[in-house]
Amino acid sequence: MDQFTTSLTEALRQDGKIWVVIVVIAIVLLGWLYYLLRIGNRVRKVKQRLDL
Amino acid sequence: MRKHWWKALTVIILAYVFVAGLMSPVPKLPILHEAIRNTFFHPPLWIAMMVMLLSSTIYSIRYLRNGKLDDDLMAVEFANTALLFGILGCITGSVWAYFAWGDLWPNDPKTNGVAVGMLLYLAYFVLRGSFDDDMRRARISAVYNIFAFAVFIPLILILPRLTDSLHPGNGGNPGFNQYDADSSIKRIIRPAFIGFTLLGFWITQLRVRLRRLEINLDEVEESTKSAAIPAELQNPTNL
Repeated sequence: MDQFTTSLTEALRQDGKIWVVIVVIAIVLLGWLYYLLRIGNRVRKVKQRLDL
Repeated sequence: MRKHWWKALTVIILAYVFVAGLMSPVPKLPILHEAIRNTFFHPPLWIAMMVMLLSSTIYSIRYLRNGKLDDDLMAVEFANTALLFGILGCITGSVWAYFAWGDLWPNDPKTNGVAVGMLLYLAYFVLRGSFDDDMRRARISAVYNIFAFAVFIPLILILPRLTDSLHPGNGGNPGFNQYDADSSIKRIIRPAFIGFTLLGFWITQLRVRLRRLEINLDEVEESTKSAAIPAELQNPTNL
C-alpha cells in the first residue's frame, strides 16, 4: 500500500505536476455530477409519488 | 428562453474556464510549475461558496423580517449548495497542498479557519433537524445562520491576514498578482469566479423548485388523507 502511494505520488508529479491539475478538475466535476445525480434521484421520487 | 440567458452564460463561461485553464500559458514558478493552473479551479469554489453563504444570510434576514417560510427554504438551500462548494474546496485544496506544501492538511490559519467554518455550517443543519415545528425551526436556524456567517468571514478572510499563512496574499505572503505580468491568470480566474457562482445559483434554483414541489405534494397528500377520514373521527368530541 505504501509503495502504491509513493508510485502514485511520483506519477502525479510528472510533466510539471499537470496531473495534479487533472485530479483537481476531476474532483470538481465528479462532485458536481454526484450532486446532480442526487437531485435526479429526488426528482424520480417526486415523480413516483405523482404517479401513485 | 429570455429568462434563462444566465444559464447559457454559465455553460459558456465554464467551458471557457476549463479549456483555457488547461491550455493557456501561465507564469513559470518554482515548486508550483503547472499546478499553478489549480488557481482557476480551487479559489473560485470558495468565492462561489461565500456568495452562496451571503445569499443564505440575506434570506435568513428576510425571513426574520417577513416570516415567510419560502425565505427560510431559500436560505437552507443556499447553505446546502455552499456546503457542496466548501467540501469540494477542501478536497481540491488538500490535493494541491500535498503537492505544493507536502502535507494534505497543513497547519495554516486559513485551512483551520475553513474547517471551523464548515463545522459551524454542519451544526446549522443538525440544529434544523432537531426541531419538529416548522416556524420554530425556521426562526432559530435563521438567527444561527446570521451568527454563523458573521463568524465565518473573519475566520477565513481576516484572521489569516493577521498571522503567518502559507496561502498567497495572506500574512505578508505575496499573491500571484506580481507574477501575472501579462494578466494570463486574471483573464481566466475572473470569469471562473462568475461561472462557478452562477452554477451555484443554478443548482440552488433547481433544489428550491424541487423542494417547493415536495412541500406541495406533502400538503396535497395530507389534505387527501384528512378528507378520507370521517368527520366524527377527526373530532372525537362530536361522538
